[in-house]
Amino acid sequence: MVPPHGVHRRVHVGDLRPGDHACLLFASEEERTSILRGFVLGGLDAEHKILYLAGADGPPGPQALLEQCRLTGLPGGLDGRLEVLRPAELAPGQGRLDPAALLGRLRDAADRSRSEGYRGLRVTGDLCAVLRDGPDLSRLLRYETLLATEFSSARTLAVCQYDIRRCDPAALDAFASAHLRSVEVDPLVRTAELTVVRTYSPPGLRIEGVVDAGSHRRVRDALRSVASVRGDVRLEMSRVEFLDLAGLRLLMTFARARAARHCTVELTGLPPHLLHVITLIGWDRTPGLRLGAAHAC
Amino acid sequence: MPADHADGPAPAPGRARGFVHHACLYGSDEDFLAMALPFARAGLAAGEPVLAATTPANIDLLRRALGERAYALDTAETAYFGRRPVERVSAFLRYHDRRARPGRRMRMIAEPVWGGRSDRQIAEWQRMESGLNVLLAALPVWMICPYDTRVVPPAVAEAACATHPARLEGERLTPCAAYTDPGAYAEAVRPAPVAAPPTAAESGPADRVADVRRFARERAAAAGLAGERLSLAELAVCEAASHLLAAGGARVVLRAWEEPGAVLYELSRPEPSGAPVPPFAGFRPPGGAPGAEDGLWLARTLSEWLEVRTTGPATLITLRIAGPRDAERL
Repeated sequence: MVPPHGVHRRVHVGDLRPGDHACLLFASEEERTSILRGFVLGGLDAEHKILYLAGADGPPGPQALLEQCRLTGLPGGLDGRLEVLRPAELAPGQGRLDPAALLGRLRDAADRSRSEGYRGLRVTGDLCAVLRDGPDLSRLLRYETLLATEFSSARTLAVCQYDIRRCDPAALDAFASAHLRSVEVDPLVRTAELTVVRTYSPPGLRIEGVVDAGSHRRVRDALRSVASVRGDVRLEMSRVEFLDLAGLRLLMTFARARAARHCTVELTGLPPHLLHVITLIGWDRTPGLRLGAAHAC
Repeated sequence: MPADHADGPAPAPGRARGFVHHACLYGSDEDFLAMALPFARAGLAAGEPVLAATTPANIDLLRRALGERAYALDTAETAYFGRRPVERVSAFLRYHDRRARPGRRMRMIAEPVWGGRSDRQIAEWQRMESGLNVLLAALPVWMICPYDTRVVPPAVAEAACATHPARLEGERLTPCAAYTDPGAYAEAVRPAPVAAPPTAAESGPADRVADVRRFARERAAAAGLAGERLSLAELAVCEAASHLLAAGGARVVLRAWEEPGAVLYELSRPEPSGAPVPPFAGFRPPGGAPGAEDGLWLARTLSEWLEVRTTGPATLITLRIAGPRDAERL
């Protein structure tokens, strides 16, 4: 099932550009950290200033943010490039969010970054975690709307984090629809014909495009990257255009290896012809393999 | 090798050994039972898996004759136990995989359907009958192929002695003097070649599967295939081409044309690259470990027929894929 908040366009974190206003819907710290790492690296690479709106459980300062992103080995000279705003600065007083005041702060930060010589500003934060009394739906939405208007043609980009485990589904839909795009990790494989992306809830991979003799090694490496995942793995296949027999065998071998650890591999969105081939060979009996819902034509 | 078994008595029940392949030409129900009943009864008594893949009438005969023992008999209506040779071999191997008991032989009565077949189909089935001596050589299987002389064309019944090392009448075993080495038999018995017409679409030479894929898809779509069947045609052609391209530096020239009921592809590798394709390559389904002929098996299985020819230094694979008018797949 595709959740309602999953229907808008995805953007890989490395493809974010100034003017983007995207949401990051995460369900695990591993997922959030992977994306934040890409966000920070992309910002440093593009000579952007990075502003982190931290919640109570967010990083207390730039160094903590770098450690959280496992980016401790970077060369020096990062002073001032990363700035962390604490909850007390974001929602002073009773912890109530003032959308217009927060936007004003961001506008100031954008002006300051420009005068400091940065090429742009990138902002991220988990505002639900900022608010002491839980998310204030109407105020947060107001903020998101202002942000969308403010940044649509500017040198600023924003990634708004939402922990889907902590948000009410209806509120989550409202937050998500305030964004044109949803950010996800950079692909493990990206060639002209094949894209493989790590997914997190449930854990697995999304495979898109063409798998043939030219890409078996890449697919094997991508599968290896989720080999240590605990529990079941899902491979989302609905955008597979072509998968040859040797490529299909890689998936079966992976399932067998998972079965030895008492876990399964579920293939979802499988194009009907591949289901036909799997059954023809008898690979539908592969230990550890689960054939999920087929791809609707 | 199977030819050796013809010299001795019929194999003793229960002991595992290599493939034993006998023909049985019968002309009456009594003749059929004179072979089938002792064969099945001895196997069942010894605890061996016994399969009767024959006509529904013969299955009835055998069940009645076996009495209580018939409960242990595996049966398959032969017309549906592998419709084409590649599926037939897969069906035998699947039966073996699912029913094999350690250290025990298994028995199969495997009666092909000959009536109503085209000349091409008869040649393909005869080649497979011969090929079984190679393809199943390592398996502890005793297979008897009955030929009903009341309905089988005389030339087909006669050829059974070239494809089986020995024949059984009742329980009497006679070596077949006409038995021919399977490789030589496959060379000698070939369906008439199908050549690409001058109007065929052409592409290549291609050295990448990606180029083959685009051509295969384009021609299948032009022939009216869509959805799942278009994707299967694309996959069949790509797997056949990958077999030819597996050798380093190989290239294939692609041709495709339409005939009533089908789209045909010819993949031609002009230069000698890699080892020649063995005569019975691609008849065994993929096993636990990757095999060099896996893709060819899939291409064969997804085609109405697939033929490999060698002319001079060139290797040609021709595949016939059922078109959109194939009402069995509507």
